[in-house]
Amino acid sequence: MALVQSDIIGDTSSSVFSRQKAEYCEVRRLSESSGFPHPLAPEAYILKIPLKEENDFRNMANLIGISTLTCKIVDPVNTQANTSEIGDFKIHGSIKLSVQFEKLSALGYPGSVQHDFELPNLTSIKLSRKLLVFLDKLNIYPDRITESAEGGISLVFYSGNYRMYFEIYNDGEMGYIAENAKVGKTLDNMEVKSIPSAQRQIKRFLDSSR
Amino acid sequence: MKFPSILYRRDRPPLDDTELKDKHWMHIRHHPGSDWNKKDDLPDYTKIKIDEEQSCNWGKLSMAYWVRWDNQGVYKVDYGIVSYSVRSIRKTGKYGFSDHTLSLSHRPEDNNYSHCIFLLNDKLNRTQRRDLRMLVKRNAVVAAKPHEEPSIFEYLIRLFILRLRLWIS
Repeated sequence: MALVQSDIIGDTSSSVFSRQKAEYCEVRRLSESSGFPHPLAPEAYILKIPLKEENDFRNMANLIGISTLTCKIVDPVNTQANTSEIGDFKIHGSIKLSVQFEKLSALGYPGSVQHDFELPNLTSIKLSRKLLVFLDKLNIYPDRITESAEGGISLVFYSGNYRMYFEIYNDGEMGYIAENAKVGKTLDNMEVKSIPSAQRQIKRFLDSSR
Repeated sequence: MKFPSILYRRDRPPLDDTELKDKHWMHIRHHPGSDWNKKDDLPDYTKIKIDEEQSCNWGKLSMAYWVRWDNQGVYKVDYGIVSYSVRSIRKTGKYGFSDHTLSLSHRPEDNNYSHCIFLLNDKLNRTQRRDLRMLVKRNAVVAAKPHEEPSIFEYLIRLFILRLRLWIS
């Protein structure tokens, strides 16, 4: 990761950054109670905040509600492998989205789960991030984000007695199954070809199950 | 809980698959996702496997709670226990699969004579796999939730019944 300034550890009140020096601030939560940083993945990426103006970092951090931070100033021009893995989309300041990203960040590290199946890889994590951003635009957030026993990520949506298990597999394929859990009936079971299509299917499920 | 000596293999041969009767139960230890809540469904659909990586304990030879013992002799109390009748695993024909899509095989291990595995006999695409996992979820009977333990009285009664059954057979 390319740094234009050495790591700064402190609280937000003492941190003053200038946009002339950097465009992004990477934020990591230090609180042990939240489970982050993960003990086996201390370098886990949590949230990348775009700095819009001078001293914007403090405002953004307050907005997200994090008081104690480890901050790294990342030079977007000299982005190296670690940061380029994050994704090619812009992250905006949605608090709920940042929480979803935190959950996603904990998956995919060896030993981070106790299951004996294939861990989520970068392909499924990247696609999940992209889908979460698309869903955030519609104010839709999964109730659960977890590993799939089939290898990949499962986004679970609850709506009363209805469940939708949306799975993003490690080979980049996507699909979902929706059920009425009360009567034990499958409502739909489909492959999905693209992120916009996934967004539509999830919205349709939530609209129809209300 | 002490490791049950009944589970040791002691050079006993695997039993023929015809010994697996429809009325028998198979027990699986099931670890739901880290963000699973008690109010959520058990078993957790996202953690259901349908290939031969899925181990289970044969109820004829062991108690449901013993499936929490792993290969290293660690008792995993944070795992839930779900049980399936052998019939529900074998009879998938009426749900759009063939009747031999899933089967079971007895594969005893040194410290677990009751060890069996699921066999997936048909090549399924992703859509079919999701369907079959859902079927497995619905056929499950929850024997114990994570951290749920039997009382000593219940444990001893179950142990007595199991020993009696093994002695008779």
